[in-house]
Amino acid sequence: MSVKIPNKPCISFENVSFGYPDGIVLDDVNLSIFPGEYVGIVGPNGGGKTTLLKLLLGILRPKSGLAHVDPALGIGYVPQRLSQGVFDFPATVEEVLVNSLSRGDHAAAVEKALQVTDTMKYKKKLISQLSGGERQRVFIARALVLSPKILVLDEPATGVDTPSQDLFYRMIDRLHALSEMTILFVSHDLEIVARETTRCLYVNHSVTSYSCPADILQHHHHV
Amino acid sequence: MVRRYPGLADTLAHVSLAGVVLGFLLKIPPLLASIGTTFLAAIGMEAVRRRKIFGESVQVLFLSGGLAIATVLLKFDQGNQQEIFSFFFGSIVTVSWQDVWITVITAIFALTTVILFYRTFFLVALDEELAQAQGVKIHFWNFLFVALAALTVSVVMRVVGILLVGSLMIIPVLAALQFGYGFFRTMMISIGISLFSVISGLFVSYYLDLASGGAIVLIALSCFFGSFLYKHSS
Repeated sequence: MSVKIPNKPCISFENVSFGYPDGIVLDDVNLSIFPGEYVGIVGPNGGGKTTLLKLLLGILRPKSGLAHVDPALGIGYVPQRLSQGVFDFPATVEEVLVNSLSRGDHAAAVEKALQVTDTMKYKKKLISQLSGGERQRVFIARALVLSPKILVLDEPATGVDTPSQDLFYRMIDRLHALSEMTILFVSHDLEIVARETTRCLYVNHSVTSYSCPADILQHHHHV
Repeated sequence: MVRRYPGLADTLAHVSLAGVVLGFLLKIPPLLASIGTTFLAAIGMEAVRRRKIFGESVQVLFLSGGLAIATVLLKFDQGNQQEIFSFFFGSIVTVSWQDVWITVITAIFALTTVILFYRTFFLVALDEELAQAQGVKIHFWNFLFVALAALTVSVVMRVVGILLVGSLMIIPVLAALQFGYGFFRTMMISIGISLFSVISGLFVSYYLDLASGGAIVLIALSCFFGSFLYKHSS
């Protein structure tokens, strides 16, 4: 993975804090993520990993500080639960992709996203008929169809069998190498984060950055 | 249905009953009063839902509230009780030309809104978080969705009746879902089943002198059982 990292961050948090009346979730977070980085986000449950993602996606607003994402870069997002459990929304894979875009003909973009994620064969199928792993790839296709420069994945491999997980990480590697896309993913699996990513953020109300992800195994083996 | 609000239409129907009674009391067209009341309820429901009370229990609050207000207001009404009760079970003979025009305008408005913003409605229904991450203001779209449902319930209840209007909005969708098609085809099939149920229900109720609401919903139920059997036999 020899992606050249530019100097200007595409995501920056300056003294960002966020909390609810019953407690603080993130306290005075400062971080910069640069274009082309492949960043793993780990930490204990309730430590603020998903909150961090939601702040950078603009779903939540900081109580104080500034969360900035370069507006010229689109963000593709794959939420945690979409590949898990029962998902009986009555729509075909094609409909899920097409209706994520603005009005107009986007057939070429849809075909490309389906090819990259190897989901072309599911195009006319209902998403409710797919397995967790297949659905996960479809929702990544849905994120890619928006031509994002940043891809954000929340616990992408949870609830997915091991062969599907391996396929999934090979696909993300390919995407990262080919498109120089910035990729952020939240995971519980420290070994995968140490193996796959180029940098790791440990989130437990504050954020610690590890430029060598393998270090995370020594510091936080209990996560 | 796909938004997991199966009780929404029933809630709005009970709220609209309060509007109907209020309309008679204030001597304004009951249909307009009902549209106004359900619209206000739609704003209120979205406001309460945003503050995350337990699950979708917000619907129960508004359903009971609507019914309670209607029964209290009924006490002050004099001489219109017969007509008010026709709203319970629906009656085509009580529909005035004014009602017809209000229904046509509402239908055009609702249909145009859905056609223009089909993709946004789809995305919000698919997953609110995904929609938010794409910059969709979900509170506005949730409100618009409930407001459209409120308009539809108000205009349909004259014919189908307050007690059965929820069924007419749910059963055709359930029937269409049995075929296992995608979103657009399911929507078209459910519209087809609704139209078929209403038109044939009105004919049957006219010739057999039955309550139109009951006849319409029984035909919609037959369509559901037909599609259910089709699914499980094929």
